[in-house]
Amino acid sequence: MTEPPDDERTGLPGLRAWRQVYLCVLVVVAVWIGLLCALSRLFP
Amino acid sequence: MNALDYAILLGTMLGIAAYAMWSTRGGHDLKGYLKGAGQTGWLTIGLSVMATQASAITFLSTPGQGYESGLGFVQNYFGAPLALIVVSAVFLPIFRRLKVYTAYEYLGHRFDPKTRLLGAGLFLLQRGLGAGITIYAPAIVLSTVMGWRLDATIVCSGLLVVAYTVSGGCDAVSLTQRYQIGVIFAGMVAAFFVLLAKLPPGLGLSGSLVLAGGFHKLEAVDFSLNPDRRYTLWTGLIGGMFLALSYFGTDQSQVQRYLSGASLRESRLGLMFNAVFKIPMQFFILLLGVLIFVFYQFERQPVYFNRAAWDYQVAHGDGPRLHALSAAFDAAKAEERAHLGAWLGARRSGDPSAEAAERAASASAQDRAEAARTETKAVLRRASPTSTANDADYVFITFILDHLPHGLIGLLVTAFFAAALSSKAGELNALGSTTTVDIYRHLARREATDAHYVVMSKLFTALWGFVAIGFALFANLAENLIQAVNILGSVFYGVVLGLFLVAFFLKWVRGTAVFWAALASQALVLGLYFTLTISYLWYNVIGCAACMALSVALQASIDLGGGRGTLAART
Repeated sequence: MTEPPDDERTGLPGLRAWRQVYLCVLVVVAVWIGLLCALSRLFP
Repeated sequence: MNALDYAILLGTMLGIAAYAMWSTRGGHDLKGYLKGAGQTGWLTIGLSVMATQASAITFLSTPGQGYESGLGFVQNYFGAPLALIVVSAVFLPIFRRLKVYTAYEYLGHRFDPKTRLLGAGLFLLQRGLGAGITIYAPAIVLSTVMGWRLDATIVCSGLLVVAYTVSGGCDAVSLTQRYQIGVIFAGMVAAFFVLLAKLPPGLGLSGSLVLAGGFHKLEAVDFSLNPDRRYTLWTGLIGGMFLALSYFGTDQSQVQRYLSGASLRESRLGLMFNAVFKIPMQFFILLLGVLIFVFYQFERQPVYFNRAAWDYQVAHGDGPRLHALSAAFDAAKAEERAHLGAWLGARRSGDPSAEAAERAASASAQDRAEAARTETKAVLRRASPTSTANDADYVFITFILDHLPHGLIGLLVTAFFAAALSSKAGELNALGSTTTVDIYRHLARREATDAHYVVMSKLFTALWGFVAIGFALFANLAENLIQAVNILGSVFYGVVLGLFLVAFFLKWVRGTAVFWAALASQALVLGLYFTLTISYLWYNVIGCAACMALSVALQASIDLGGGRGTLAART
């Protein structure tokens, strides 16, 4: 398997491709929004 | 503010500027001056992007917004991470591969010189006209509250930012922004913990959240599809993404920040840093405002936070009416405080029915207090209809000056100036670069030495700085101008985004079609702006959609005409 060029490396543990990084960011954003929803529900 | 506060303010602001000028001293080539030495890491880029976007008004006004309306405003930022992913995946690699200095240079590569000039011209018009606001908006609030001279505040802060931006270029801007955002975070976090410590004994964070929730301040996410609602999940995700894409993808003040990265990886990580932390940062600032609201349920607060405007209208306007409203507000607030004290007691003793009754009674008193405050605002607005001053802007600074210890006051005022200067520096850097690369080098002198272009870039940056200072001084006489300029920004943003989206995604469309489509779309948006009464945020969508649709239609018609022409020539 060929190594990606230096610029394509993410340098992040467990996230080798940028697509994985973007997916991870989307999950984090979804978690933030979920936590905000939970806050609204917990303190009506 | 006392001597300690002034020492912190002057020492920090002058120290950061002097350090940046010293660190970036010496000769620069054009690439080094406009894009940095190419060694900028992801954290500096991330903080720099954050500092450019977050102006002083973000930190001064957003807590006031949290105080007034709760957490709902955070939804506006839901689309920003999506936009940053698109910029990182699509915009950034193309900009870096072509080694452009400005985003508009790319339009020249992709289309033709006239389209590049159009993009650069729209940016300069929009940013240039708004150049003074970043300095003026915090200066008017801080000078009003502190009793400083407005013109001196504008000139001193303006000259400081011009000095280090002109001297060190892109690297100085990134370096100062890194330290300035550190000061901002330190001030906001310190204010948060001092505020928590000042809440009544036994209330704590969880009790404050219960209380804030009872006053509907924690409604952070609204799933409503009602278009009349200003902040919903959907407007935040769709409208917010659209706005953020325009801003992060096509505004040179942001493009310049992430193009300075040592590699594509550093630039991308800097953008992803913002994608992850933008929402929690805005949430934290709004939560600070919500906690200030809770704090003022137990403390005396003015009916109107802008004391200077209040005092002036009491002396020169309808004083008796304002005093009557203030008395009604104070009485309702005193009643509310009594009920909240009883609510706190019932909460401690574990009496749920008494707790619910006292909470309902306090909410009723709060409604009456809010009615008096709303009427006060209306009286003041009638007395001074040309003023655009928003009382929410004064909530946080009033809390800081009345309730925080000296030293921390100095740190927070420093944080506001740091925010003003960091976003101003990014703007000036971008205006200077675009004027040099897209206008001067492109139109006036194509073949000159790097040294010549660096000198011209410094001159143009200084020139835009003086324009900003001049505008800020003039804005004092015409506050409505600020609103007009803000609207003007939205009116141009959509078409510029349309130009870039056509460039990236509609490969068969060429320069002439997109150029005329952009001009026609801009004319359409301006025409609609003067005839319709819809929210100006919609003009971003209309401008972009019109530019893309007209580009496709024009290109199809050109191709069809060309095909017919070719056919006619053949026969």
